[in-house]
Amino acid sequence: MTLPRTHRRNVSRLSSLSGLAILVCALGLVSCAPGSDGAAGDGSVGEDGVDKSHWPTAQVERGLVKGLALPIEHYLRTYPEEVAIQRAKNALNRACMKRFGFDYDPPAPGGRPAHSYNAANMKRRWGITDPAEAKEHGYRLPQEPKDDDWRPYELEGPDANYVFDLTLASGASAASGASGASGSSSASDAPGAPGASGQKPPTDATYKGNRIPEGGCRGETDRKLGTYDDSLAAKINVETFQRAKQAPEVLAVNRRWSSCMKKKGYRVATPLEALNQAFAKGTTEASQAETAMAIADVECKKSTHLIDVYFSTETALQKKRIEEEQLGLDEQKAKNEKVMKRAAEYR
Amino acid sequence: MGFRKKSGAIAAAATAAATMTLGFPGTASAATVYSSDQCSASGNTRCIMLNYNSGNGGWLSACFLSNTQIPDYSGRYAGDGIHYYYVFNNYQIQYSLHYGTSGCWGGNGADQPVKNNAAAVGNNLTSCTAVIHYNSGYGGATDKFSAGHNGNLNATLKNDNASQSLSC
Repeated sequence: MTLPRTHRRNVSRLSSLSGLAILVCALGLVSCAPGSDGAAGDGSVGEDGVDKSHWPTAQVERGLVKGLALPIEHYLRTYPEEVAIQRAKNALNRACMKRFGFDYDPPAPGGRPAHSYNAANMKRRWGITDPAEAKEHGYRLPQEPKDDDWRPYELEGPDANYVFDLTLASGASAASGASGASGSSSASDAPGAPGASGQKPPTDATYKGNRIPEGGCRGETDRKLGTYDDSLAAKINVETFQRAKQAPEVLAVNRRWSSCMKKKGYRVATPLEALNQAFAKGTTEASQAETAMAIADVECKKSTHLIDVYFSTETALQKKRIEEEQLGLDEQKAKNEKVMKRAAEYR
Repeated sequence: MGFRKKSGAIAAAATAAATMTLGFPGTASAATVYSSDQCSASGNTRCIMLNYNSGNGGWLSACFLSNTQIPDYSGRYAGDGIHYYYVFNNYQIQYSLHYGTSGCWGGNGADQPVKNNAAAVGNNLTSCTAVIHYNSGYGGATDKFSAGHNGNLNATLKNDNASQSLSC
């Protein structure tokens, strides 16, 4: 069972389901490690003061894919898990970097959420699906960040970058790029040098007398935490998405959708092509024409039951693949749960 | 008609022509800029690398660098008739990532368009996940690469990297 949570900007902040949340936690139906998905709290502000009101929900709450869940989602990493892991990584990296005298201080994770709960990307997997969003935003995301100046956190200076994960600045050689780093970082490991491709960076580099861990602080953190690996599920997630495009029933509903669109004045073969078209101009905002087409798009999806067809086709494909890969999927999931437990120990 | 292409080797001129016909405002003096580096990080230290070639324990080929969300890997319209087209190129960049080294030289793929043409990703950001969408406009199924991770993109049927978002 998945727990609904508030995430839209217009929804009241206090979850009226917090009582239910506690009960569900007690029954062990969902993971309720504090901070992992905020289920035990009011859901809107989590650890480190992170605003959770824009976090993606486990299932889409509006439109044609509301409440739908593909079988493979059970094995895919979720956004709350990603946040918990990153929080642990940040804590470990911070401590390691401090040993070398660096202040490593990325923003708390959870501040710039993914567009979807997991890699299935249900809301836009088969194009747009929310009539209200189509009316207001055309094919665009409603939460498109307006701050074009935002960039991901960077480290300052070649030394910090090198100690963090052995990164060298573009064009710099191993010798000059890490002033203060000594040891046997050989020139043959510098980018551009013959034989450099595929070689591992030096393992006995030091910085101001202290040995840099293999792979830098990031490598040390990785070894402490373990790696969350949902690669099998991730593979199936994309495989069935692609293969479904060729299924006879999908081709048939595409034709019905396309002819519905034609009656409304649009020449487009598939919903995904419509999404491509909207972004092909390279512009950042929806024109009135785009908004009109988006409204028609969702209406035609509704009248042809397109989402039902796509959903049932992929569900069938995934069930078969899951059966074929059951052991591997279960094994990965079990390992990942261990990683999540370990992550909960580091804050 | 869509902007999607089916094969890897696409003449950029054809791309430009197709774009012009979709109605760019005031394109009389339009400029075309081929870009392989949309990463603002100093010294390209903290970028997401898209590689032309796939790999196994190591990646090396021309690449495309970025550190923001990209609604369409074809490129973007920057206003004033200037259109950017994203292509692969060689840079003296190498990231040491979880499953091996991701490097950006060697020549393979230089000048090829990025969209529907990338085989691998290396995410050297410090703490954000790179989400590669198999459709433009953040649509389709996705593959995620955590900070410090690399790997091949899914090539079921064909290469289909179409857009990119970040999550932090």
